[in-house]
Amino acid sequence: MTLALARLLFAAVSMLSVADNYDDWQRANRAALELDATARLRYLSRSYQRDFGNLARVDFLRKSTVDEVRLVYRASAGMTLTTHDEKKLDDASRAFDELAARQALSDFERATQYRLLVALRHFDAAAAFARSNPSQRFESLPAIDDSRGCCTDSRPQLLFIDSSQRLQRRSAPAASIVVVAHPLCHFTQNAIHDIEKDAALASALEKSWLWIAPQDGYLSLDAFETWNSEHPHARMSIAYRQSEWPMAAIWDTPTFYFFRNGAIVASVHGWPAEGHLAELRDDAKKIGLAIP
Amino acid sequence: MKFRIVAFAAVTSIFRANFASAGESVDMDAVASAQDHQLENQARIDYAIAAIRSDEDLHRFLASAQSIDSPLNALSESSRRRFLSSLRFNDKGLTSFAYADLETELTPTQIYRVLKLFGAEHDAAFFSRAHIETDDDVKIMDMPRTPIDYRDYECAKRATCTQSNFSICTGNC
Repeated sequence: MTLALARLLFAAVSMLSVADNYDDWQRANRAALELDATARLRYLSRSYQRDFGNLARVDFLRKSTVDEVRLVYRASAGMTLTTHDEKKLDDASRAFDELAARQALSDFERATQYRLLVALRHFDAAAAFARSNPSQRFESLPAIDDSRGCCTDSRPQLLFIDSSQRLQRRSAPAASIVVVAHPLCHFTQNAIHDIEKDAALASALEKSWLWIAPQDGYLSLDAFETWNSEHPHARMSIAYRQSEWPMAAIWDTPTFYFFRNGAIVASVHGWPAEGHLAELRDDAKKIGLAIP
Repeated sequence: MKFRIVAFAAVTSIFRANFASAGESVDMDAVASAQDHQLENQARIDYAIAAIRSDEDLHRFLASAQSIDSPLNALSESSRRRFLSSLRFNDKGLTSFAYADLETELTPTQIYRVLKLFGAEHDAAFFSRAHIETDDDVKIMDMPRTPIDYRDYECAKRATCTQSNFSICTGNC
């Protein structure tokens, strides 16, 4: 009885404050940017739980206005893309279904839902979703060899991009330098241009590095193909699941991680106009690479 | 706006003509690179001469008579508040902004007008889910995308893009 009353009271208060909760959530996202990446994820999870943990329930959503359901959807979708957590995808999907039941879905929400399915690697569900929304222009899914038997070892997995725009899920090769990057990130582009101008450094690093892009809901294969043809010694693949990697929390682009005996011993973050070539040289020496 | 689109087409033609006359065949990679360079320069000019380049500019604008007819008024009150609170600036101008409310509520032309206040109008073509109503909307969606701004990232630290959904990280970061 007490629990039921408490729930009723909570629902009543929440109904009045979804917009406020979303504002809190937006402020938390902004504040999180000031934190280091590991703390950022923890802080965002706590904030989401506080602001939306109890709002993405079917009974609450049914009593909410369309605008309120939209905000619940937006927050839970954002959190799904940040954490790649299936439970957050469930939250987002409940809000999505409620909007669909009221015929209130916008193209933004349809596109976002497709993106969530791709980001969490539910490729079959994404393809089915695209088929059931024929009027929408989603980024088309390439042929994906996503066979579960692909990776029998415990290594992190990657989506490798071949020249005919096919994706192949494979175990990542061993590498003592992992570069988190993205072909559409301007700072990533500046980094590779500066490194390639320093032929001696590039030649020393390219034997040891592995370029990977974050787990995301956009595959952007054209951008990867262009990158891979322009930078054949720094071919980029896509992380299948970020959580499999030792630097699980920090996926800012570009970031250079230097590994020794499986542990991160140094990292270089970002690429300002003056570059970070000296730092790359120093850190490469720390892991025993001979840099001329 | 129409001038910008026509001007881009003209520049593209000039590049193609120049590269074609330099050799027997057109080096399309060089053409694309030159186009990207041109787009980047244009974007940097847009940011540099924007009406609002800082929090102070924003407060001044919102307090001025100009805000009565502001393109921002096309947004609902709550969306407008959320959009404004998402804006981040550094000494070069806008570094990031949230786009979900823009894309959900506005047409591409309205988004273009809002972003022009901050010099980010070149990003209007990112928002392919905005509701298209006019020929200008179609033209905006056909604009080439700038190579210096990055969707679903936010400017957290200098020269670094951090994943942040429904935000744009600009080349000013």
